[in-house]
Amino acid sequence: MGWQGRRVPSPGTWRHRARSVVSQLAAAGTVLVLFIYLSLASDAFITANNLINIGVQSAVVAIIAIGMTIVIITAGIDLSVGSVAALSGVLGALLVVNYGVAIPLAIIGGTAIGAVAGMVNGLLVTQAGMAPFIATLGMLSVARGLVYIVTGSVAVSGTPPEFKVLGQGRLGALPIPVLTLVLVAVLGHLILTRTKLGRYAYAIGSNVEAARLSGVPVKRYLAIVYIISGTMAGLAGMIAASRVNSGQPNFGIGLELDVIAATVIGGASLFGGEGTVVGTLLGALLIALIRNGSVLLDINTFYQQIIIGIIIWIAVFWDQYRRRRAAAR
Amino acid sequence: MTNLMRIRKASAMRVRLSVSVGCTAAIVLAAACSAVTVPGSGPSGGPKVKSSGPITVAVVPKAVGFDFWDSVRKGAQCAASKMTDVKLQWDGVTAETDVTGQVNLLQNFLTRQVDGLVYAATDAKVLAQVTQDALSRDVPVINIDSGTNPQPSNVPVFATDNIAAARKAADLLADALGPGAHKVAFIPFQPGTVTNDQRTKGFKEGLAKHPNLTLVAEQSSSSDPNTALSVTENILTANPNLDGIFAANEPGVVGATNALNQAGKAGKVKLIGWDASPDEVKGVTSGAITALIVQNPFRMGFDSVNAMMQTVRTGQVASSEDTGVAFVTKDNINDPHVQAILQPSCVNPPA
Amino acid sequence: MAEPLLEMHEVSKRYPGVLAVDQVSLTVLPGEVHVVVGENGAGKSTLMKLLAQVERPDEGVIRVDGKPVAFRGPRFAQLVLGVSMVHQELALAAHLSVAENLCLGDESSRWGVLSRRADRRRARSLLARVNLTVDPARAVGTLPIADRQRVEIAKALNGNPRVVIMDEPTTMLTEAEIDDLFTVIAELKGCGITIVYISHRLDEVAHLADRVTVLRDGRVVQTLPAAEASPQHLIRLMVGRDIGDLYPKPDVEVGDILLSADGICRRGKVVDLVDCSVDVRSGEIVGFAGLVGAGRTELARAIFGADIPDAGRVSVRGRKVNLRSARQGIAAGLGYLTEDRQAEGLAMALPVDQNITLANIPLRLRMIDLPAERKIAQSWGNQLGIKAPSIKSRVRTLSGGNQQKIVVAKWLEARSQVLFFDEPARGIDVAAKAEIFDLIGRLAAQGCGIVIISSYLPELLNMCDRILVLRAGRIAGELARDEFSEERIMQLATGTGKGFQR
Repeated sequence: MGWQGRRVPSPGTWRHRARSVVSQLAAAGTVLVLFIYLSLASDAFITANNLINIGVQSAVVAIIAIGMTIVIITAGIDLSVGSVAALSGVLGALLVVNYGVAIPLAIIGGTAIGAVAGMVNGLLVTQAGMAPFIATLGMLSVARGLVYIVTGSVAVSGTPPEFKVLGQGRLGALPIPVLTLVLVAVLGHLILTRTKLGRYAYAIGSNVEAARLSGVPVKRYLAIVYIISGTMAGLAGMIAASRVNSGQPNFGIGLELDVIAATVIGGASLFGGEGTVVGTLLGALLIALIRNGSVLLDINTFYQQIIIGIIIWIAVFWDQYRRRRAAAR
Repeated sequence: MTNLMRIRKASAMRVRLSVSVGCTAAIVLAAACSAVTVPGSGPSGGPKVKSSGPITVAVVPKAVGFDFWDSVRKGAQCAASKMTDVKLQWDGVTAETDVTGQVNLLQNFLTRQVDGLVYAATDAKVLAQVTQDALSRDVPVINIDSGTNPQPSNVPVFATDNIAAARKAADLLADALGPGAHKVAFIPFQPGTVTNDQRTKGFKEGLAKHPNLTLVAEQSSSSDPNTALSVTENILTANPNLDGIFAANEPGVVGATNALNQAGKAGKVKLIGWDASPDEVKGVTSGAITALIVQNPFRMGFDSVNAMMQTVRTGQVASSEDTGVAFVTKDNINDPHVQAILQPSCVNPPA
Repeated sequence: MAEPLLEMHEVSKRYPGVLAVDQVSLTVLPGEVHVVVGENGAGKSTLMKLLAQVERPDEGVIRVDGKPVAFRGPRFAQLVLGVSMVHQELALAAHLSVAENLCLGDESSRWGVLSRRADRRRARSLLARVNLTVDPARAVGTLPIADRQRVEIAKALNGNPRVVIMDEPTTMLTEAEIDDLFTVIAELKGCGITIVYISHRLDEVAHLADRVTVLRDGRVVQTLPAAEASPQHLIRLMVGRDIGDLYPKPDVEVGDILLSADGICRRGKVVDLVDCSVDVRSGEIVGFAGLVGAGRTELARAIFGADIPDAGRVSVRGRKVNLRSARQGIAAGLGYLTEDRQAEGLAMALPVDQNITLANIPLRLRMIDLPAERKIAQSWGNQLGIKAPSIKSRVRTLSGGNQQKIVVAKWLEARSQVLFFDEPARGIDVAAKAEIFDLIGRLAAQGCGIVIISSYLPELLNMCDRILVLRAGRIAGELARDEFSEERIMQLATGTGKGFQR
């Protein structure tokens, strides 16, 4: 006996790949259409400078969204990313300004703060058995409170010019935030497709009981997933602080919504088991494109919100339609 | 920020219900009081006089987390420190859009029976109810920065005349750019809020007087420096020969300054800003910012608390006050009167 | 022949990408029990949903009393046409009471205020018709499965329907409960209610049916009187070909002890396990028999490590297993095929290959070795005859039989030597069932130790070398193959000297 019934291409062939790309068609198609439209509508759009700007502008959301994607694949959610990013940013800046810590160390320190917040989230979810929504909602509030306490609710300024390297520097022609994003994306993609961690994330999100009974140490891996999300929020928070050369206590309020939007537009399912780094990148790019294009065409801010909302609907609707078709077979 | 509002509203749904019930109760109560008070004392009875003994004054900004409101706090605390028997309670919500949160906060202060309420209204109409509630409990109110609509005659406003000051922003931009046709951009921060709309109105009125200035972009920063940075970058992309920018509050200025620096256009594109956080002041000295319109938040806090003290002790309602603005440029930044505003301290309070 | 009560004429129903019901014509006569059989995916449930107006047909006419009916939804079907349906998945609100469930959507009220007393009264009369005596105020979630199902049937009797459709009502029940259910059905029939009964268990046909309709691939193969419907004949009609022995048990030399569980105790939600000891030898097939709630699944899970036992020792090949989690059990060479594949066995959203390697992912330099993974999956697919469009197909899209084989492949890939099959034939069609049991036999022949848990005694009687009967969390007795009989097992299971009667 063998692979019977319909003879269908084995994975790795172009047809299989084409099919997995088609599943992200909604995001990819919209990105393409928007790209073409904007290049026709505005002379300034297709310029090296603007394209680089779009890359940098999407980097913060995209980096956090990659961490979020892994969480959402496990059927979890991390609402605390915006607050955690702010906490990392202000603490990183404070380390430099008040304690004279070397800037690379401060960046690592700030990012580590994110990891710690993520670990607390992870422990609350796995050890205290809280729903991820609740655990991270608490962290959203706690981290923001800590931000105001450590800063006295005033921006942390006075960072030396080298602090700007992470957010504003360039390596050759490429901005460092974009390079960081590429690095994170490649790592994220490898983790999801080529490591136990990624595989277990999908398995946990698809069926936590099946994963447990297959010997997956569910709690350990769930905790790791939240640590990754926190770390990404921390790293992105440091980049954001570096972009404006100060630790901003009000940074990232509501950011989690853009981040979740990016992952969902990219095909992740809030029910778990689905999501890819490529999709999320497309989602983040789409949001950055909308924001960029709206300014280029001088469209009112409020319309931007509406456009993003509608695109979320379209993406999710497409996703469900696809799923229903698959389930009906 | 509108996103933020939404999620906050959702999470505060339960609270909001109870608040609206509370509000209704307060209105009914206020109406009942007005029905029985003696003619002459008015719907909101005169403040009760407490000529001696310790008193508590609550000072509530629109939000915590900005330099501006921190200076208000310093001014208020300075005033309190110079008097005996005054306890200052400083608290605020974390976002200027959190109207519900501010209503809750203020009502909590009223429940705790403070003797005077000094606050900046996040929403003119909604907060009018809270002012009524306070007055009906005989708690005197002073508004700082932003008042309510309607503004009761016995509630003075200690604020910047935003419209006049923003009009002046257009003049400053025109001066800096000189004669000839110029393209300018405007970065508001929270369309729909009173302060934002006043500055927008003033700036546009001012622009009308300078026909050589064309407004080519108007994009909100949502009061987030990172957003302001992106928005300014995109405006510069869309308008490569932009000549000037007016950013109407601190996060907008910080973001725009960074964008200009990163685009290598600092000083070439004239930037008029608002407020005076350390980063903004640095921008003036470096030449990235042409001029800052600087309010006097310290004085706002200082004068309002002093006035509140007078009201509580004597029963005399203070009159409204324009706390004024200063125009800070590279040339005058070291003048003593400017420094007094930029670095307010209790030792050397600004005039 | 009486006038048909229900008549479907060339009815079709299409879902995206699949023609579920294809030009089906079917008549139901008044007062009969009409059994509809067919393999999974043959279109039985869809057909019934069309009758009960849960789904709208794309083509064709449905007549009641000879008159074509409009499509107006299930409520219309039940209350106006008198056609109601008992769904396969229990569709009750667990948090609501029995009475609330029974009257849901049709509550008694006065001046807009719900009348709880009237609802309870109504509930009691409905419950009486299905021989169920429970407090109508009890939350449905607290009832045992069999009672919940009885409530579901009672719900279908709302509005005095003339036809009650039952969709595989026995899947969740034990033999004794099934007999009770058949009694209820007989009583309903006695009251003149027509029953349309979907089943994939052919032995039920003989007990219930007046007439049988066989479906295959969305079409009617034949409608025949029950007297002509021998199981062998029905299987041929359902599958479209002859099937060999359903339970091909090979002769295997039983070897050394592989698994030894001793004195397992565990306090549980449903039942407490008390001092259970089990040995499984190489090549041996051991059955766990017992009523639902006797602790069969619980015992398997405790030995495997899915639930941690409070006391007891487990060793595999003489090596003690530290039972702290399923991980330890797997490492020691145990594998557990859950009763409910969808809820516990498979990651439905993941592809075939990833499910097969889940318990033992091939790594190279700490990264997943994708080529090796593909080869592993291909190889198990070939060996076990897994039919799927590709190894990248999501398991959600596969049939129950193929899903079951994927779970088997997962354990074989994890090098399991002792496999627990919990209700291995549940939700699987006849042909696949034969394949699964053939596979179990081959695994035993290769030296694996096998444990089968089943509520369907013929499976145990035919496949096992030895049967352990559990009762209330204890091992009530052990039968060797020459002592096997349904009666003996039921005596042990129920703790009565009296034999179980069919």
